[in-house]
Amino acid sequence: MKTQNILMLDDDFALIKKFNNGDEFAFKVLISRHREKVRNLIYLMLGNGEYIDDISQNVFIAVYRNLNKFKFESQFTTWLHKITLNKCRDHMRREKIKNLFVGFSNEDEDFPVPTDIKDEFDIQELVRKGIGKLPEKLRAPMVMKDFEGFSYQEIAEILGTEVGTVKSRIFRAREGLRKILEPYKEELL
Amino acid sequence: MRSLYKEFENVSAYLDDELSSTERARVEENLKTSEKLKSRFRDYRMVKDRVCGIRPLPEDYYFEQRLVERIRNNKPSKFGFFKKKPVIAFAVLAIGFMVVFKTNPQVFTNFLSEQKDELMELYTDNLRPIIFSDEITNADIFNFAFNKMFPIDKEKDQMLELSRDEDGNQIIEVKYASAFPTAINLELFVKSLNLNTKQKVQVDSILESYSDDIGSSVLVNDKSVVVVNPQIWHYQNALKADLLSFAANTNKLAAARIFPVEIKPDVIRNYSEQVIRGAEDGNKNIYCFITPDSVFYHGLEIDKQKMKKEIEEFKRQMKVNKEELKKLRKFKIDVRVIPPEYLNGKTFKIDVDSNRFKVEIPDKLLGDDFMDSLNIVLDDALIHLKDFNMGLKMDSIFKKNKDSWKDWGDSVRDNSKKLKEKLKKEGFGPDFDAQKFEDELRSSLKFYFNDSLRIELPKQLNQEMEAFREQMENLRKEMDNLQKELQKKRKSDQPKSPVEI
Repeated sequence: MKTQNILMLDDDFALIKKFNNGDEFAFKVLISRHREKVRNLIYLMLGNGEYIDDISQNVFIAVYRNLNKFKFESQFTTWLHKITLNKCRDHMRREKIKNLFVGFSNEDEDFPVPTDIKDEFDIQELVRKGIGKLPEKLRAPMVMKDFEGFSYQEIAEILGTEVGTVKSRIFRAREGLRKILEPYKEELL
Repeated sequence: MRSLYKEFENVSAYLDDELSSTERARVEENLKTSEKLKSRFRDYRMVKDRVCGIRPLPEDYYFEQRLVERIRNNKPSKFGFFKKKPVIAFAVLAIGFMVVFKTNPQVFTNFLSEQKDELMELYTDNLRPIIFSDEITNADIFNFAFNKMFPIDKEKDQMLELSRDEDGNQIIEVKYASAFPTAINLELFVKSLNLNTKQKVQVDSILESYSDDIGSSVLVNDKSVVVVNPQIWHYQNALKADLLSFAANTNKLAAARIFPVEIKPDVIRNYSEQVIRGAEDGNKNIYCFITPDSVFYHGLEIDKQKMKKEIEEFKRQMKVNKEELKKLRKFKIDVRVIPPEYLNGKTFKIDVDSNRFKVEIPDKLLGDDFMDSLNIVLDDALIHLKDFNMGLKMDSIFKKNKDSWKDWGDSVRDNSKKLKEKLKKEGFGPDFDAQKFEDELRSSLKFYFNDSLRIELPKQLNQEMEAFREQMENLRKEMDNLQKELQKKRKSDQPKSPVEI
């Protein structure tokens, strides 16, 4: 753990190089540096904690297997978040197929007020469930901006899209969340 | 609207500090003047703060340990190459199959044949005639003759229906229905013909003579498979013909009305015999399989002699103890799957939905065309029988004094002259038209043939009756309330007993 504390942000590259040279311990350090971000991103992206462990482990297994292909052209976090989002999407796709027969819907522009959160007094939970009601393509950039603190440029790189699109999606996500949380405005202020 | 939307978007980006200096200055300027933008800015900031403030998940200290364990146990597969390139895997498989089929072409047909045999074994397993599975009564057999409906599973309300589509093709239908409309039933048939006990026994005997053939034309098993021999059409027609012929012979007056002049009951009976011969000579081994996952025709060879004996034994035991029926449900008949030669190259239509399976009987499977002419005669006879029945009901309505109408026979309709005279005498006036009166009465009252006592009133009259009933109900409630109030008043008016101090 001492090693982790004295590492600087750009030391991700050094750790990757060490791992590629056969140092398995470097990978463990890499995990401990980023695991919580990955777990929280998955938690907010999926809206429930049921599969966090499975998906976050799948993310790091993918990292473990593909770290030798990392090109050092972007930050490790950008690459890691791209993998995390892909794993979340895979999971959501599988769930969607599972739910095909029970009328699952994911309307992009419709933000229905969730009826099941009206009795909740926990504001954190209220906001988290509200985020869960947003379409995935709006939810991801907003979470990465507000929760992870990425810039629009970094988010655009992770999502493989334009900065203008990121700007628009974050705005639409906030607008959607605003509508969802409207009935609880007094409690939230 | 569009520009306002853009302004909101810029306010959101302003909050994230993602605007150029020019855009930033413009948003700040707008925020000073527009209340709407200010309000939206506050809302977005609240949303952003709330998302930023979400509690992270508690740390998972054993994450690495579990992950390393999983990585160790989850080594890449030897076939990882194929996993990554599924197209290559498919191509290799396809080439493999091509080589196998080229060198041994019988493999595929043998495989299909084996699968088909296994499937047939599954569908024919524990097949037994419907007569063993459910209690088939004479009323059921009668209903089948006249209404073409036959119960398959009384508990599940599953039934078999024979019908024709718009093009006149014969259809076998298996469907779920809690009740089915009956144009005529056994009870009404007996009542209409005024049959005595001996004649009723004769009717039962006719029905019983057909019950084995009809009951064994429908086979079922525990896997919800229904197997129908299309020849059941012949039995239905023959039974109908026999019953109508019996009706004509028993009640001459009825016969005159039931059958057109040129058709004699004996001719009908001959038709009946021909029909049964048709059922026994035709493609009697072709059966229609209606299963939960497919519908098809296939050949089946059933040891009918053995089955007949079993049915007799079954009926005997039924008379002793009805509970034996349950034990005999395990009864198995000898069934041998045979190639459906007749059906080679023949197509048929099916129509399936959640409630029913409709299957067309392939062309000519039922044999000769004489069926059509017979059907026309029989259907005519059935219509006459219904009309005849209507006459009886009319009679019963006019009947005031049993003795004075004794010599009127069975129907009012055919006695319109006599009726006219009698009604004139009873004060309806010289211009009274009995036929017109009867027609009007017919149009205003609808009779149900399966229940001679039931009369359906016109809709408007029903509504008026309902409104009247409601008024009477309200009046009753008001009277009750009034009575209660009066009782209370009486009590309060009674002098109170003096209180001792």
